[in-house]
Amino acid sequence: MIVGIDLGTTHSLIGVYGPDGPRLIANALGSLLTPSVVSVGDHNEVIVGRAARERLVSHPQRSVAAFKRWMGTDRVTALGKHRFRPEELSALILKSLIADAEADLGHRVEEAVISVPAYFSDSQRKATRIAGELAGIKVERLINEPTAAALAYGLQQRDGGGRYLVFDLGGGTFDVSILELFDGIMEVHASAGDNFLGGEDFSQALLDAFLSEHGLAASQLALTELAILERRIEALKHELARGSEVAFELSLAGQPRAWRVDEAAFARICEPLVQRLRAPLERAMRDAKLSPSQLDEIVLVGGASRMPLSARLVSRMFGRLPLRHVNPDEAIGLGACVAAGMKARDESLEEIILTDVCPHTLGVSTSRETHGRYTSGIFSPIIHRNSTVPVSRVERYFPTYDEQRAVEIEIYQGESPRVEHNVRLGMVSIELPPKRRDENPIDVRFTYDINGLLQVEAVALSTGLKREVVLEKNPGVLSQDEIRERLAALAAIKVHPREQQENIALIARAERLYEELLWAREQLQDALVQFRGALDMQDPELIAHHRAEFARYLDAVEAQS
Amino acid sequence: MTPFARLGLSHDADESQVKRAYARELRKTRPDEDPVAFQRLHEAYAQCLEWVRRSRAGAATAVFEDLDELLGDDALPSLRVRADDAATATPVFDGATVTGRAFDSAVFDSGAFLGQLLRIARENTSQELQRWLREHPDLYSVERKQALAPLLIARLQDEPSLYIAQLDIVLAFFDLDTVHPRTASLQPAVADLRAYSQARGADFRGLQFDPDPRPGKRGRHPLALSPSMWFFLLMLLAAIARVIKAANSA
Repeated sequence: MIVGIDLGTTHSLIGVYGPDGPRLIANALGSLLTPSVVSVGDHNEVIVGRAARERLVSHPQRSVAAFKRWMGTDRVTALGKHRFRPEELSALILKSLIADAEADLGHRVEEAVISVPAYFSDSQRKATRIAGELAGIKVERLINEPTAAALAYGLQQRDGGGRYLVFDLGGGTFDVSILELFDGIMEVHASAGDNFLGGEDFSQALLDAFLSEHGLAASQLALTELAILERRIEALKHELARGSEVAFELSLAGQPRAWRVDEAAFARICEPLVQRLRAPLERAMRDAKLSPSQLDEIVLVGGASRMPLSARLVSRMFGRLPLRHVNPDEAIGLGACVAAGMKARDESLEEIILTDVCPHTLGVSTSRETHGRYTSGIFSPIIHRNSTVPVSRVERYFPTYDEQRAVEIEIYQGESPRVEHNVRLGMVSIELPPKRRDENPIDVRFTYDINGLLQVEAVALSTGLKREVVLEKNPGVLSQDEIRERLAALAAIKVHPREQQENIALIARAERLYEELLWAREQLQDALVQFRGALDMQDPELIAHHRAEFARYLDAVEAQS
Repeated sequence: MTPFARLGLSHDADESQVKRAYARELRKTRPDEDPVAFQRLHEAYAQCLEWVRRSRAGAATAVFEDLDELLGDDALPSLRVRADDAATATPVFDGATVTGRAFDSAVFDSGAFLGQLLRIARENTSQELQRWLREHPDLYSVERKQALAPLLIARLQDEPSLYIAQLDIVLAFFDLDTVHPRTASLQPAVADLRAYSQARGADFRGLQFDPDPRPGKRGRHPLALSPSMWFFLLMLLAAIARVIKAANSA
């Protein structure tokens, strides 16, 4: 059975496609959302999910969150004695999700469909596939997040389909996709986005505003203080989405600090971020060749779309009100389950076919002659952004000079007419016979497959010589040998068994409250010692009893804060 | 084979027939199974759609509903977004839709607007220009912004060039600084405009750091004249003197 996974910046979900449609699976703590946080305990064992999120406060140097933003880079995070690349951290999340799915399904899970931001580049997609391999599963397909959300939504509307714009503002990324559903075909017309714009950035803007209003700098605060403040800001942001004015108080750098923010102030603080949402929306509409009146629905998904400013911006730009998914956190996960069902050719989905687009423009660097002078570094597109994939296109080029013996064809991805503003993907060089330049054509063919992999082929037409390029090894991508090595290393790391998750999460919560609530420290310490003592007795019944007591106590303490 | 023949259609097929035929053919030619055949099918489909839409466009009439009253100054109605109902895991949607507002040329004078935009670009700093563009309520409309882009290029070509920094802000705001077939026809004009602006040089309204403040080191004094100008002036004086002399003697 293939599972569907939403591997998110702030939290992740797993599920399957069953007889009743898509179904999400709860983790060991009974929640559908597993925070995408990894922490390393005192004995270098790995802790994932809610407990790890609590430990961001109590053990900030041994915990890490929002690492999806580093996918496709070789950034290394040191936690305890471990050093992890972003795809390894993602693999730890995937392993935890898979353990939950296996416990629920009662059998091994070996294949998955994972959702990725539509605007993810080649190296970010590769890193996501490798994360799957490192977690011991085969990634059958990567599905774009807004497409997944539209699958979950569109299939609900059985009446003939329609055109949707999906506005997907997640924890770390922003995607816009325009899709059409008709006769069982889900066709993506256009996607656009920003890989570094999400709920986390809005929290950061609030945090910066708080610090500057209080004349503080992040560097003045202890890591734990900063983590406590981040939690407060996060809670404040969520409350702002519901109420009109929110206030909090906490002690920082030895002084009590109070802060009061209303929706209008929040909108002001976040204005520069809101501005960045506009361009992808405009670009997607233009590329889809649609006017707002031709859209049947505008659907908001992703946790950060709860912020009223998302809906406000959409209404200003489109002259109409958007719809909000009742549970924007789950829409993409549900869609990933539908995609998994399609991949497995589930009978009820047999009739649905999905076509997607490539989000970026791909081309080569050329030079152009004007008034006898050559300008180099001009980007010549071969595959335009938002072409339906799979797609293969060829363009003809000529060498710059007569008698030129070789050309170097540099491959770029991006939207600027100048290559220096785009991303260089690699190069292919090809030898030429000595001829006049206009008698020496070269055909360059780009082939982009359904999984987002690009193949480039150059042919010197006068000799028939053919050169294919294997795109340069990206610094963010691991080799097969390295993957095998890391796979073994990850398998050797100790992870707590599933049935201990609840105990670990409770201890982590108590430790977090210990840092946050000075007045309750002694009591919390006592309760922690007592609970740890109960765990040592290894009597399941006794542990269950103490666990219930301990949880009640922590609830009471937190309610008083 | 014509695109219509590929889909098994006659040339007078309408949009829904094209889509149905494409859906039928797609089941035999899946993108993950036969990429080459799929690409051919999709191209035929795109061409048919383009054809159908063009031939229908002449007959289309648009019915617009004015949302200005609803949207008001700040263009925001109080949103009817219900509190999340987490009890159900199946997607349910709330809120309300309103028919799209479209462009009303009687209300919006694009010529006057572009004139204003160019004035702002000439008279203000880059930051002010950027703020003005971002905050202009009319530019929030996706449709209006799209329709303005070609008019803007035509206007820029008619007027004296802007400073390059200002021009780049305007081009970026209207997404005219990227490659795409939709704006390909405008790209040569954009390249020319940038070349003119670059030739015009830096914006003199900004103060420049002068590493060597000796007077007169950079070129001529404003009152300095070239040798040919001196010659011309002398000849002029001589001519005047001769005229005066002639007048006196008469």
